[in-house]
Amino acid sequence: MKEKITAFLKQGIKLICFLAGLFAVLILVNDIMIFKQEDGTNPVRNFYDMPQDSIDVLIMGTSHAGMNISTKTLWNEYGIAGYRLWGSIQPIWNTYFYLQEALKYQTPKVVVFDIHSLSFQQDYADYAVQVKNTIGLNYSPLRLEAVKTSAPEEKWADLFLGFPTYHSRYSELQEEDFTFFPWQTHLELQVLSSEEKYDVHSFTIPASSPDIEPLELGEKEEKYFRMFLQTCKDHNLPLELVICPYEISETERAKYMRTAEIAAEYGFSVTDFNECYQDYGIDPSTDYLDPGHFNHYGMPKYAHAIADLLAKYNLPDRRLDAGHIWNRIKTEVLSPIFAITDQFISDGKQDYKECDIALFQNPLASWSMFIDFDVPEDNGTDQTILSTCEDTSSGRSGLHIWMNKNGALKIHFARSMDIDVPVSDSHVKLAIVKSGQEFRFYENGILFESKKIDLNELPKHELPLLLGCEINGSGQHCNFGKTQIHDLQIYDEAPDPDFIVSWTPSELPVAERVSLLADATDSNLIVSLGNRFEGDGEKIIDTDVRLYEDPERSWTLLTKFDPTVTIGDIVYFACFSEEADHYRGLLVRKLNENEINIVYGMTEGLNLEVPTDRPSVLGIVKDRSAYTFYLNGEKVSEENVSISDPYDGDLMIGCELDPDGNVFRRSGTTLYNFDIYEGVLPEADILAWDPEPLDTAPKSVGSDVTYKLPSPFTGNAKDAFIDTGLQLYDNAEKDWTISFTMDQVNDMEGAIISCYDETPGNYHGLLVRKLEDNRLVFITGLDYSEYYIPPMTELEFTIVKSGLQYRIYLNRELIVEKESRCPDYLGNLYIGCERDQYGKTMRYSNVRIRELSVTNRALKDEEVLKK
Amino acid sequence: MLFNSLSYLIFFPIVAFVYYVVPWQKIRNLLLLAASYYFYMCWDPRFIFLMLGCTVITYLCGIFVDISRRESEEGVDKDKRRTGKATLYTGTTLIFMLLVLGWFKYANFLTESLSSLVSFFGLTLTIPKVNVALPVGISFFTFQSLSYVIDVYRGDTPVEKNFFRYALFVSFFPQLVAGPIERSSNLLKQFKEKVPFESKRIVRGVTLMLWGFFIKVVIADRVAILVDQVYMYNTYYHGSVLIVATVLFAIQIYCDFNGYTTIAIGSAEVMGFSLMKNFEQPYFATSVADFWRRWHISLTSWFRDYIYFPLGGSRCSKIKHYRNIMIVFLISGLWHGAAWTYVIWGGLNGLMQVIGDIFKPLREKISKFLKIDPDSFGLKILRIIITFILVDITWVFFRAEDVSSALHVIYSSFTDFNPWIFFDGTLYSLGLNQQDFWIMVISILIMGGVDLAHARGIQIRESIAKWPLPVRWAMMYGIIVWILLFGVYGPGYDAAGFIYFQF
Repeated sequence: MKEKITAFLKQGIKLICFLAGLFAVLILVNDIMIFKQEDGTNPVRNFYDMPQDSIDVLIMGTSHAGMNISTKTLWNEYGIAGYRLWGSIQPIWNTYFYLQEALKYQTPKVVVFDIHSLSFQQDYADYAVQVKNTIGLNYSPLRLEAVKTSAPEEKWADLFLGFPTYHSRYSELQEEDFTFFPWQTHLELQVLSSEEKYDVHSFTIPASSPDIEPLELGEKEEKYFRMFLQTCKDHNLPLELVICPYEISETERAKYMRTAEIAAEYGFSVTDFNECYQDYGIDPSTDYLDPGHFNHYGMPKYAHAIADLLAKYNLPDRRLDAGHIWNRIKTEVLSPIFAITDQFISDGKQDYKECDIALFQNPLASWSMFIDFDVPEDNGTDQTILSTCEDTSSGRSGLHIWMNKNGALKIHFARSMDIDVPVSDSHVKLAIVKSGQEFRFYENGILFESKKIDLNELPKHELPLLLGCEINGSGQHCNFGKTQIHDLQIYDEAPDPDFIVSWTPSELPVAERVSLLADATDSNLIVSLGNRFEGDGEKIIDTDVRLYEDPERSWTLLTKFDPTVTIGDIVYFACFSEEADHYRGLLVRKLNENEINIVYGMTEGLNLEVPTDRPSVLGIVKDRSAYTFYLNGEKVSEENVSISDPYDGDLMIGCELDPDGNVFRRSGTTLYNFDIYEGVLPEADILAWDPEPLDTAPKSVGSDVTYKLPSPFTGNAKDAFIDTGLQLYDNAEKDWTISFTMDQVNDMEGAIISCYDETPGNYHGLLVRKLEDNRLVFITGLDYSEYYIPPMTELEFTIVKSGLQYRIYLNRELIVEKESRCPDYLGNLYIGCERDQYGKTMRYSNVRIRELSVTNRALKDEEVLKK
Repeated sequence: MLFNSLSYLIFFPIVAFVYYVVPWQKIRNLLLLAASYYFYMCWDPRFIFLMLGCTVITYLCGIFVDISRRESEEGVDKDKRRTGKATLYTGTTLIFMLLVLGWFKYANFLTESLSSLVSFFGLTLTIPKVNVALPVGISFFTFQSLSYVIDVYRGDTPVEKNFFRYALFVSFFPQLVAGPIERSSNLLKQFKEKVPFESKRIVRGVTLMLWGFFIKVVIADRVAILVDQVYMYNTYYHGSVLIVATVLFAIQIYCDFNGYTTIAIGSAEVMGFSLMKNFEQPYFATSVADFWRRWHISLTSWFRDYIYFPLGGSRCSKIKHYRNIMIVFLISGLWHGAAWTYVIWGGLNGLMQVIGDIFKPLREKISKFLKIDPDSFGLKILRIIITFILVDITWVFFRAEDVSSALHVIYSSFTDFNPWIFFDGTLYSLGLNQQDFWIMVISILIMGGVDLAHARGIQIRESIAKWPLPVRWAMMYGIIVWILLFGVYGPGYDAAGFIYFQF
């Protein structure tokens, strides 16, 4: 008997050891495979890493909380330890479960909840949303409860276990996937990738109508909202219910009114920032990526609004708490966002360096600059060491370090602030720290000045940082300084005093002297015609390029044209405002039999004689306000004119735009070639430019066809793509039809066509993408579908959008039928790639598209079948 | 409740645990019976009555046959009417069971075939479609209960008087829906003996189940993605692509069915029951006849014992012998599915065996003339390859949607020459990307290695049991992780049902 018991115990221990080992292995594998989504799993998984009671403000809700409230600004500017525990399109029940989970680990002093999700009405969200808002939770009864609430029964197991949903990710694993093992932590201050996104979506926030009545919430939404409120009450947890400013609808307002009524029952109130966003300088015309999410400019402003709201709680400044986790790990992660790699030495005559960084894109952004330089010798003139200033009628705005003609080293900052630098030596080690609205100045680690600037006085522009010179009101480089900058480093935050004191310049090598011309040469192609343009009085090209949106932009235009054609109003090309008494831009047209007329800048004009027996080659170089003209291999004119006012119209070929933006003066001109390069090309290249004429484009297309691919497109999976210039979702409810024929490419993957917003939490638009395994992904609006590509050599797709309805045909057979509503999106239709959230092209494919056309209406079923 | 579902992974350990906790065998049997009925009801609770009805009728038939035989033996009534009674009971039960099977499985096939035949002569016959769902595993439990009835009638097995034990025999959940088709002489008696708790046996059973999961979830379901893609668009594919898909289908159906029965045998072994072997490395067969001795052994032996032998088997004239083979394989085809493609598949298998037998003397003479050693390794390999090709050709009919698709696949396989598909990346565009494709290949090679070891008499599980504990555990962890990672399951994949469920 004893032997039996011993044997039984032995077996039992063995079994337990085996299962423990298996459990450990499965945890490791699970940690590798689980999704790492910054708008889904990461916020909650990283939350578990935070030391107990290290979070004072818990920020909860959908992307309106998670992508709009900058915890970085709250920390840097106010020392508020805030954490965004959020999820993409997070339903209120998931927020409720997140709160329950959070309270197990943290004791926040206040919860900020954006009530955006109370405007939803649904039993269950889409599966992707369910996944994002549940699988990051630790395995526990609460997770099971969250899963059961979030999804229908057939999905419970997949969601609760998680692994069945993501186990097939083995083909997409990246370095990040191996950084979530139990012994690794993610304790950094939360920073979203979209916080560095500069795209602007301009709109107006609708004013509230006095007639709106409260609208009942969805049954499930109300139930969990009440549970959420009760939880806060039970824990004596202060709660701030907020509505971020966005393109709010009447229905949403009505639901928020009801939300406020319910909140009031529990003693909580709602702060609607749609009613007071102007107080915080939030500007819907510049501060948004899309109608619901701030860009780099808007996020800090909204963070200030939230900080203002939280002021009544007297939250501790955790920056002073050396033991706080973000103070402990801060110095470990501080690294410059910009640094020169060679010493900058200038002759004080023409040398300067343009740095690839703009300091005042976001007026509220925090940054710090460390510079080590030699004071210029006094020569009785103003000598610039460093400058990034906008010169307006009210004076300079930005940052400027210079030695004035009296030999004093000075700093100009913001709009009108000037200070002297206490110079004790010919060698200066300066630190300039901008913390939100405050500027602080240190010389050799010692603070000698600090100043808080009004919001309205903060500079806002995208001018690059210049070393050795500044730019005058005409846009010309001037006030060159004879200096040597030994080191320059810029950080994207305001570091603590210890760091400032301890900063020491690096010993950089001395660079070779760089001439102005070579430095300014840049041959990035902005526009290039793929086919010869032959105007017929109807046909035009809208290049989607705005040459004068930034009047200081430099570019080089090269074209080869036919001087003999005379149909219509004989405009070759124009990026020109016809606004009466405010003409500006560039217009090139035929004047008479052997003469062309060029209007440029603010209506400066130039007439050039051209031979009529052969094509002519014209080159126009704009270097800020200086224009140089070349004709048939000779420089013919050089003018420096006043900088023009901005003009946001497109460059049109074969026509002009009238003051209302309508096409007029359609012409019969012919351009054999047409290229525009960013920056100034070397003169020798311009003089030698005489390419072979391009081929003629295919026949013109029908009247309802808004775009037709001029020639077959073959992607290279590296960098080839076409920007059609067409916006499919500028009005998300408009109709259109896209038809394209592509070759079957077995090893192809990547985007085929896209007009798709990749902003996390706000993915929408049109995307046709091929995966490795012969699956085609169609994203139509917000909807996702997959289709296995049949093995045909030629695939003819037709995508019809009729209002919210999408129909997709393959070889005239209907394969997908969906309905999906999505927000507007102002991006263009791209062929052969898609664009990331920052607007950069990516996911290039090697697709071969033979034909593609876009029709500005929804083709009927029979029309598609007849095609 | 699929074996490769979370429900089964919860259901089975609970059943096994409670089974061992209960000390009395009778209660254990009742527990297994309840678990089996619950297992079956997870698909469609309505059909539990069908299974119960079949169980009651065959049980009563056994009882009546036994009574009539005993009366005859005891001399109460020795005239032929009494033995005729047993025949009557048995015959009536057989007819009833076959009618049940026919109604659920073949009614629409028969009516459609009849309509087609009539329309061939220019006439129109409209027969309403029978709107019934096919009960899961009906072909299996009807055949299993029929074998019991016939065995009792023949006196090959004693009658089972305990209804619950008999009901458990018919419904025993590991082999209920896809076999192996057990005989009462093997399984029924096992329910009478108390099974002691033996950890070694449980580990063996679990290991076997893991192996079953591996070949089902990792190989069969992964291969299915490629095969489905090619066969769905078979008219677009040509030559080598169709050959690859057809070869892979042979692997798919083997892994699918063998995976299921391996999980079934493993599950039974955990609870102390020994189910019959259903596969014995069939693709190492050296002739079609040999293949059928290794493939779906429980079904083949069923046909052999209850159709082939009663028809005369091979102990009759050559013509009758060939007739018997053809009858068995045509029925076998029909058993696998109610469609002409299955009938053709069965017929081809029978025909190949008949032809093989006819030409056997000629083959032997040629071998003798060429002085080829019939036991040489090279000849064996050649025969294995030829057998695989022949069997694989018949699989085309098994897999194709219709006869014309099957003919296209075979025709194109032999006439379109495009071997470059092995080098130009085409293989990675058939539903599996490069990584998935090579995971499939590696998994197949692992399975092939294990089959080869078995064929050479190496008992893998016994060998593994001798390895040091850490190595053994590491291997187990490896298999589990491999299955979890590379198995085809979850929202990313459609849940793949076992191919044999429809039978």
